[in-house]
Amino acid sequence: MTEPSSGDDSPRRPVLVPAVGLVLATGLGITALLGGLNEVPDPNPPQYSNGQELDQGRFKTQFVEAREVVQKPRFTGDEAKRFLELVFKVTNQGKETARVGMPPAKLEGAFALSSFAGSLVKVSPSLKQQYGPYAYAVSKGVQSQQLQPGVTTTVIVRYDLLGDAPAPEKVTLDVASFEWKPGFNDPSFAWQMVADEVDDAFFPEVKARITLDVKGRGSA
Amino acid sequence: MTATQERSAPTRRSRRAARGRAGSRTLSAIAGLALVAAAVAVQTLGLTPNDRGAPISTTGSLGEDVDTGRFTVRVDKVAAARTVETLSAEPVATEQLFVVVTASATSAKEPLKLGQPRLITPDGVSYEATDKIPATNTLANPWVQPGFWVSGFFVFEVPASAVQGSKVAFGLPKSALVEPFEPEVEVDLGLDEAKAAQLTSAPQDVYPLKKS
Repeated sequence: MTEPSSGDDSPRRPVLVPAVGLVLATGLGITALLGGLNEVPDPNPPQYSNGQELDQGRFKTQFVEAREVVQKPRFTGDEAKRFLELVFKVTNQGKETARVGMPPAKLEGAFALSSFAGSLVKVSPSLKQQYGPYAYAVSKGVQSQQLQPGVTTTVIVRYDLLGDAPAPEKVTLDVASFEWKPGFNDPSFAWQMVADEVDDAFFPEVKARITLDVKGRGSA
Repeated sequence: MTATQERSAPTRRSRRAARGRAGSRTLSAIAGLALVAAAVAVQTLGLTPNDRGAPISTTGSLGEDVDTGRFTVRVDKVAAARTVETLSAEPVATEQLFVVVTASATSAKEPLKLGQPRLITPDGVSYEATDKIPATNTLANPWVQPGFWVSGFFVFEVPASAVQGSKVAFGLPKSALVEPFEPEVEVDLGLDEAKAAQLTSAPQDVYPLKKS
């Protein structure tokens, strides 16, 4: 390697490699200090409103409307029940049947969900619930918890409005998205919610913020 | 040591040897590249993690007893309908198509229950049996015992385009304790273009689920 070649007495020091190494290491260090190469979560996700469509990876979702619904009492003497219904048209873009699921109660742990309603990671204002919310797919009056692949289905997420509590004027939804990728400690591929790690905890990445005007408010 | 000596005093023989070495070096480079390419190609034959965790399927066709060793399933009939009438005579309608599969099952040694099957299209899209028909109305409800054949229905809700060339996969019910290499029966429904067209163009208006 260090065999002296004719005509060149002083052995050249290999400078280039250590210099490049040093520059790379410094660059890496600075990048790491500035928070790495991860994309900085967008503090202002794109805004959507009534009737708009969002690609959530696993689902293509149209945000149809939010409405107040009054259900007449079945027996005399009972009070009429009031609900806030969020209406979606959901197309399952995957290759297997998906669940409608439930909106998560807390933001922590929500990243583990892969159902449609699981992606509605934050609904505000938060409405006090006794039993609800309740989410289902409906077609021709038949309810289901399944979203079959390639099929567009109406999905309703229903919140109880307890007592005389008025329905809110507007409802804002933080909606997450999904990716087909291997799990954290399971190499097999599955639909996973896109999440960011913050202080050793995972939080769903908000793909879009949807603001819906509540229709039929105060009627009946 | 010998190398330096040779280089300091090149002879005709060693020069010829060097030329030969260069030729063989090109050859071995090509051979190396070929081996690397072959290794990469072989990787594509490997199972994906999803395939590795998949159940072990025994395949068969319509009307055939398909035995996994734990249980045997036979698909007797396939029909299509717009509305299915449940055992409690309640009509359930769909915007898509109901595929009603009449099947029979028996067990080899121990009583067991079947899980809800999946209908799989040739391009790998899989539809779980619909939950619009209560599970109590399906063949997933009765116990499957050794020495007896029980028959019943499974109902799938699929778009008409999913019918052609489809298969149905029957397995054990999902449990919290995951069993590796579960047995599975995969039955080709034998729906070629003509039969699929017949099913999808003229589905029954009402298909009553009745114990025969």
